[in-house]
Amino acid sequence: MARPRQAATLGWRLVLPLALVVLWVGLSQVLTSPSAKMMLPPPEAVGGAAAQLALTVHPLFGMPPLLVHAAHSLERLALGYLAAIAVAVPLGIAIGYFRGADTYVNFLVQAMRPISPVAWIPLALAWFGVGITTVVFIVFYGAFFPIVANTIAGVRGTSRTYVRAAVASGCGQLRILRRIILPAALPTILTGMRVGLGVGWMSIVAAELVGTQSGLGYLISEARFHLDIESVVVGMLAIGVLGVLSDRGMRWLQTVLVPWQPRA
Amino acid sequence: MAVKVEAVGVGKRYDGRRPSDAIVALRDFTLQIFAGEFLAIVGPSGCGKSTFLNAVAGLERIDEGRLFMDGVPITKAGADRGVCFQDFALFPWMTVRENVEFSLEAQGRPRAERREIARKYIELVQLSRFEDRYPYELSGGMKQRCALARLVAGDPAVLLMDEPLASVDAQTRLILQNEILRIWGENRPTAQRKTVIFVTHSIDEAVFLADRIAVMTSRPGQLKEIVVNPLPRPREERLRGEPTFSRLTMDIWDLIRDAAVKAIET
Repeated sequence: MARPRQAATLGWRLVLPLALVVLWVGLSQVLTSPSAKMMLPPPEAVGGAAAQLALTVHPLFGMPPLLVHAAHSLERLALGYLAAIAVAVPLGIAIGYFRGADTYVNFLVQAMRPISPVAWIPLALAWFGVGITTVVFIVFYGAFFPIVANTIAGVRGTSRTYVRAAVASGCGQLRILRRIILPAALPTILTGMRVGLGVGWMSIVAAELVGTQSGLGYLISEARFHLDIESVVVGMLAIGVLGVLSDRGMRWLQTVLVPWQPRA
Repeated sequence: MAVKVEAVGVGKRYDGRRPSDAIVALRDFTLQIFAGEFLAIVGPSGCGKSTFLNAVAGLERIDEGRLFMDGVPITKAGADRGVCFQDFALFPWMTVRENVEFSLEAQGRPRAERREIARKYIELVQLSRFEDRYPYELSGGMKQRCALARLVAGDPAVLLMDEPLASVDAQTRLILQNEILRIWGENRPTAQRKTVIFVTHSIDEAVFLADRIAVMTSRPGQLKEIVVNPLPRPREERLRGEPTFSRLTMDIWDLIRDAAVKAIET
């Protein structure tokens, strides 16, 4: 029962991207002047660039450059993102649970939230120089706030009835936190982690544009410098594909960690 | 008979935003509940029945009067009292077994012992086939049976039930009433029964279940009358058709009707 339906929805999901590709092909047939090609490279040119980047071994790296850049980006993303989770989740729980923590930290958190990760790049470069640390820091910063905000909301949103039921059983504070509030907040925390991963992707490209000598953001920036617009598009598509895959991973994690919610 | 729970002149007020918004939920509420007794509390909506139950549970402080259990003032919640909430309050992230085990877990009992006790009570409410299911996979009646098992698994001396059958359908309700009597220990001698305080807005439910029925006035809630139930135990289904049953139900309704009508109008 479930399988054919799943296949059908997958088909439907591809309709819109395919329509865009068709539109792209159509436009590239019409817009053939050199300047137009700079604005919208034809699909076959992008395909050629993609094959070049993904299949030819780079003499310096010993691997196809697209894989090297993607691997570097993924490594930095993972470091910054995991660090953000490690700090934001405990902090969010503390802010949500303890009144005191709320008064001292929440104001700062709310004030820093609207400052875009991109705005931190100059300072980060000054602190950490060109290299992986700057990029990891920017990813950390970008992923941090959605996670902390959702963790706070999840903890605050825990139904009073559950807490009362636990208190009525003679349950202590720590156990209430561990067995009631954390699981009750978990779906919201995971939503924050999912949003945070998306922001992490956006941040990493911005940071790599200026902060490093490798990564997908660097690939885009470097290609632009050489007026290699096809490779720019390849870099963008690679980010899109990896973004979808990592979001899939997060959704899978949700179903594993929250088995007690009815599947939508 | 020994007094298990005693309320002497209990008063409870909820402060509103302004002084004029304050609500007096209970005023000078005095009641004795005996050990092993099944006491039902009925009264018009908003008469403070649930407030009293929560106060006995130790979930709410009282403003006036005194509240005792076994002669000791009640100051906080404890494992000697179990609460069954109207909306079940099953923890959605725990399976049936984990829910039933929870009060034992809160008491710090070892895992193997918890599991054994939980299995016994899950069997008692006939949920053995569902012990690894999550609450969202259960019907309303099954959820309520799970909540009953959780309630008694921790072996509290006093069972506090706040309209436990309010959210199940009418037929399930009749079945679960018998279930509650079985879990309470109707077939055991009085000395081995638990003490039950059962809040309900359903008069016939109170008449079918309880030894005594405390009828409350509308807000501020005071004790209007205590009706002693002459129906014999064990309560059998056919009692629902007896003239005594309907007469008692009618008498209690007479006590509440005016206040209940007023509660709707205001």
